[in-house]
Formats: sequence, C-alpha cells, structure tokens
Amino acid sequence: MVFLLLTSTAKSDIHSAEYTSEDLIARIANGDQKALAELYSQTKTMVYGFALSILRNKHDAEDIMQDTYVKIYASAKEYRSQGKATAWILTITRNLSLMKLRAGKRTDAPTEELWDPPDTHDSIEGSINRLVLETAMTTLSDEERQIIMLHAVTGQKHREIAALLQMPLSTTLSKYHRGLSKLKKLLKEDE
Amino acid sequence: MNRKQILTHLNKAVENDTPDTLEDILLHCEQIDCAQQKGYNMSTTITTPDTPIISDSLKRGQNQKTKRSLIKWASTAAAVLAIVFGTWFGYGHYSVDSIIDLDVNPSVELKINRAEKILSATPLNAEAEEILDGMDLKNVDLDIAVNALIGSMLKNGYVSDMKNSILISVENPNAQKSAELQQRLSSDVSNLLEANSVGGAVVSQTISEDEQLKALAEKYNISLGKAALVQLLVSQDARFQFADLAALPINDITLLLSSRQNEIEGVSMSGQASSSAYIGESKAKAIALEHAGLSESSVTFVKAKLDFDDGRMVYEVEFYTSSTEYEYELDAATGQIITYDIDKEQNNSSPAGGGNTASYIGEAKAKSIALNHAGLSESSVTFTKTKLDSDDGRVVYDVEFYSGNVEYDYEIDASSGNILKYDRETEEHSSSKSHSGGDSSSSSSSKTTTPTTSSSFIGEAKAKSIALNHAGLTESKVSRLKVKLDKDDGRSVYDVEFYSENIEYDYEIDASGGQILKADSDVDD
Repeated sequence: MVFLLLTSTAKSDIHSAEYTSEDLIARIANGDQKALAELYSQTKTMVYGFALSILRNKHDAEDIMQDTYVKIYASAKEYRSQGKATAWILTITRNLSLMKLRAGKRTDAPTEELWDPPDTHDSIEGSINRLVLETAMTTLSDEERQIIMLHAVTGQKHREIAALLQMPLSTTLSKYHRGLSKLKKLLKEDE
Repeated sequence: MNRKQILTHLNKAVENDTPDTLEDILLHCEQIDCAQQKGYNMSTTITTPDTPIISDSLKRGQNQKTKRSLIKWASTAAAVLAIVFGTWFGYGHYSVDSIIDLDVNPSVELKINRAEKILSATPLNAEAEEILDGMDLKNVDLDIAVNALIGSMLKNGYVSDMKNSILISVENPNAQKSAELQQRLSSDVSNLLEANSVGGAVVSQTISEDEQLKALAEKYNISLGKAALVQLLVSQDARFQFADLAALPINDITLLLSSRQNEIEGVSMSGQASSSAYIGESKAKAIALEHAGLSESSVTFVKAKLDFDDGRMVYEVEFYTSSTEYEYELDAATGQIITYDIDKEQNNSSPAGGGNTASYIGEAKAKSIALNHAGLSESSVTFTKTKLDSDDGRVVYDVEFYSGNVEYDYEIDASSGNILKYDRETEEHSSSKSHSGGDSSSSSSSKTTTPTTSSSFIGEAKAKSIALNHAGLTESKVSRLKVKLDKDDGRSVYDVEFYSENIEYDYEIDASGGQILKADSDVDD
C-alpha cells in the first residue's frame, strides 16, 4: 500500500487515505465520480510512471494516463475483487500502453524534445531527480526500465511485478539488479 | 548514490512530472454516462480487458473553453460510441445487417441482410478468389452459402488433417443477435466438417466495428475477424508482433490460442486444432531432457507448450530439479533447440545434477575467487546472492555480498573463473533516521556470520522489535503493525510495516541474522 502515500497533494479530505482502491472501484462502478477523483489522486503517479517507462514519451504517457482512468470508469463494473486493485489498474495501463506503442512505434527517438529543458528554478534536489529519470529513460533496456520504474513508483513486490509483466520471477529479479547496477555506475560517473 | 536513493529520486521525478488531467477525465466519463442513459447496450463482445475503447483523439487541455470543447467532446464521444457500440446499419432488404468473416487461409467476407440472404461475398485474398471461383452467392441463404464455401475449401485442400481450423467472426450491432449467429454458424460448420470426416477446430467470435482494427486489417490484407483475433493475442503477450501473427495461418493462431485458452475471453472454440505439422509436446520434452542429460523421472515440469517467438512457432519447455531450473525453446517444426537457459538456485548443497554444469567451477569456488579479490574472509561477509546466470551469451556466476556497509558485486566466468566485472560500493544509510534509536541488535555492522541454513529464524516478535528500535518507536506508538515472513531476492526476510503519525515505515529484516536489509520511511506531508 505504499502508493497510497506517494501522493502528497489533495490532502483536504483527511479521511481520504482510509478508502482502499477496492472500495473506490466499487463506488466507481456505481458511477461515483468523486471516487474516481480519489482513486486518481491516489494512483496517478504510479499510472503515469509506468506508462512513461513503457512509452518513453511524456505526451503519450499523459494520453495513456487519461485513457486508463476512463477505462477504469467504463469497466469498474467488471472488476472482480481479488484484493489486487493495483494489479488490475496497472494491467490496464500496460495494455493501453502496449497498444499505443504498436500503433505508433514511437520508441525509437525518446530524448530531446520529450524531456523538458531543465527548469532554471529547479532546486538541486529537483535536478538530481530529473537526471536520474533521464538516465533511466535513455540507458536502460525496455524491461529493466519497466521493472525499476514499477519498484520506484508502486512499491509492488518482485513477485507481483513479475506477474504483471508476465515474466518469470528470476528474470525480473536479475533485470532489476542489472538495471540498478547500470544506473548506479552511470550516475557515479556523472557525480 | 545507492540503490534506494536511485529509486527515491526516480519516484520524486515522476511525481513532479505527473500531469494533472483529472478534469479532462471526468468530462470524458460524463460522455460515457450520457451514452449509457440513452439506452445503448454495451456489447459483451468488447469487454476483454485489452480492447481499446478510447480513441487517440482524447487529448490534453481541452477543458479550457468549455462551450467549444463540449461540442468537440460530443464528436469524440460519437467516435467512441461507434467503436464501443457498433454501427447501426438500418433495416431494408438491401441494407447490411451482419458481416461474417470466414477465415482458414482463404478469407471471405459475407454481408447479409436481415433475412440472412447474401448481399455480397468478397474474397480478401488470392486463395479466397480460388475458392469463390465461379460461385454466385448473391441472394443465396446464408446456411447454403457457408456450406458451399466450406465444401470448396475442403475440395481444394485448404482444410485438411494438417490444417483444420476455421475462424468465424460475426459482426452485428446487436450483441444478442451476433452471439446467436455466432453459435449457429459455429455448430453448422462443426457438423459439416464432421460429415466430411475432418475433425476440425472451429473458432468463433463476435466483433465490433473498430477503426483501428479496420486499418490494421487493411494494412495486412486480412479480415477484420482475423485482425481481432491477432490483436487479442498480441495484447496478451508483449513478445508478439501484429505483423508476425497476421502472416500465420488460422491453424497456428488457433494452436496458440488453445495453449492459453483459459486466458482469453470472448472467443469460443470447439474441437482440436491439428498440431500434426509440429513435433508435439512429448517429443519437445524428450529433446530438452536429453540435452540437459536428465530423465523425465528426475525432473518436475513447469510447462511444455506451443508458442510463438521471433517469427516462428516454438515449444517452450520448462522444468526443474531440486537445485536447477531449465528453460528451453525449440523450433516447433524441426525440434532444433533455439535457446536454453539453465539457472542454478542459490545455496544448494552439491553441484550435482545438470549435465553441462559439471564443467563449471562451482559456486563455492566462485565465492572464494570473489572473496580473495576483495581481500575478505568468508566469515566476515554476508552473501546475498551466488547464482549461475548467463550474460551476453556467456555463463557467469553472479556473486553478491556485503561486509559492514560495503556492497560487493562480482561477475565471474563460470568456466575459467576469471573476474569479468566487479563493483564495490559503500552504502550510506540513507533513511532519515540513523541507528541511534535502537539498542543495537539491529546494527548491520555487528555481523555475527549466520550460515544460510534457514532452520532457525529469529521470529516475528524479534523482527518487530528490531524494526521498532531502529525507528525509535514503541509498539504502543504505532498503528497498523504488520509482520510477514517473505522471500526477497531468494533470501528469507521479515517484512515489517507500521505507521506512526503521518509516516509509513517499511522494513525488510534478514530472517536468520536479524540485519536490517531495507529501511524505508515515507512521509506523507
């Protein structure tokens, strides 16, 4: 449930964190848009981050983020609770992203215009964050990038990530370690 | 920068980047509500989780000029409705009521009116032209036309013992009618095949008009029905490419479908697709076992199934022994081994078992090479991983351990014992809290080397107190405390989670040694 805590905005409702995604989806199935807004604020970083890690393009990731929530709204009725709402949401994100990828074949030129130029008001912290994200986006393999991003933004277990990406656990483990080592090395050179 | 810091920076970067699109989303959801209130029935045929129901025209920032954008949204919604709810064709005698695609390899598209008379029969490829040669199906009853077409396919050898799969796709704006027609045609064709003593597989589905799919179908010269099926498979498996699967005959697609049938909704299948063009699962198993130098009785099979990879039909065979996991991919037609992967589990007692692992130096030797290089003795370090792996096509041992707060990572050639790569890193304790809060048992620098024999774990209570100590809290001050024995990276750990005020704490504690492997605190400010 780490993702519940990732969102630092929308704190006006103190009770918000008490709603689980499961409850929210049940309410969304009845057409409750407030529940959708709540689910959105709880999970948007995760959804956007995962889409970004597949698509490597901010604009596409933003589109997929919208599509994901519209799809959640349209198909919440069909959701069968298994205590894994996160997995369900991420599966939708993944399917929509892969479809977009196939339709557009946009993967080949990630860099430049897709990454905003560093904001001059960026704090030091902010520019380090950006550097790490850029390095991850431009140097990791597709699978490494997705696995590491999922760890960073969802707090899911290796096992859950393996299931989501339809890979053997051993593969996700080794890609996770290899990818992180790669990043560590590259970021060290930059320091 | 250590691993945890990298993940944290990544998280923060994404969090800062995440755009706010809630208004657009809600606006769009309202359009869906309106559509449903007007009494359209959601067709059951499009409810697979992978079907795109959202058009690409959903774009950012349309909510500024509400009036104008509402009109735009209405047209977007209309486009979405066309996809979601199918297109209305109207009534009269000459208007199309349903479209039916028959695919074997020849692909024929039939359009019928409400009385189920054929309005047109269009060949979609060269084979279909041959099948349709000289037939005038106009105004013929659907049943008779289908009968004639299947008969012609049998006669021309397109349906045979080797390739016996037929795909029937029905498109009608009325979901109930689609389903009914789908069922009737499917059983008609099954009977027809049986009467001709061909045990065929009949795959049937109902489809909805979908612009994206239509474009794909046109691009690859296949029927909308086949495109829908291919799309379905592609969305199930990231390795599949539309172009590759579109080129496969329906029989291969059916074989792929049946190897994962329980995962696919909205497609029904009767009969068994013929795999006689391929070596078969048992033969595939036997080839893999022979290569591994093992007998069937000494292994446990995880799977042996027909699949499609890198443009060809393959068998994927996976099995394991007590210490080793084997993964093979064989060419389905020839039985040739395309790739294999042998993965030795951590901390197995002897290197026995796998045929060709015998030539490797062994985990113990790999460990000692790494230790030597690091100038450390086995008793002063804790191993986190020793694993046979393959990297860039060569077999290596991955050895990871730490001593104090230094992390070592080695890659050692499994045959020669040469060090290919190593990485040494001092891990700072990055969580905002230091060890100060606790009375110690938690400190990772006091390493009593614990052998990896896992019989004696420290217990949940101890794990709990280690974590609480580290956080400088007592049990009465925290809520939602959870302790769970888990496995991470192949080692047993206790997962301890709790909340205090607005901070979430998440610990991973070595189940044997009690060291804190991961300490995570997340402030919700």
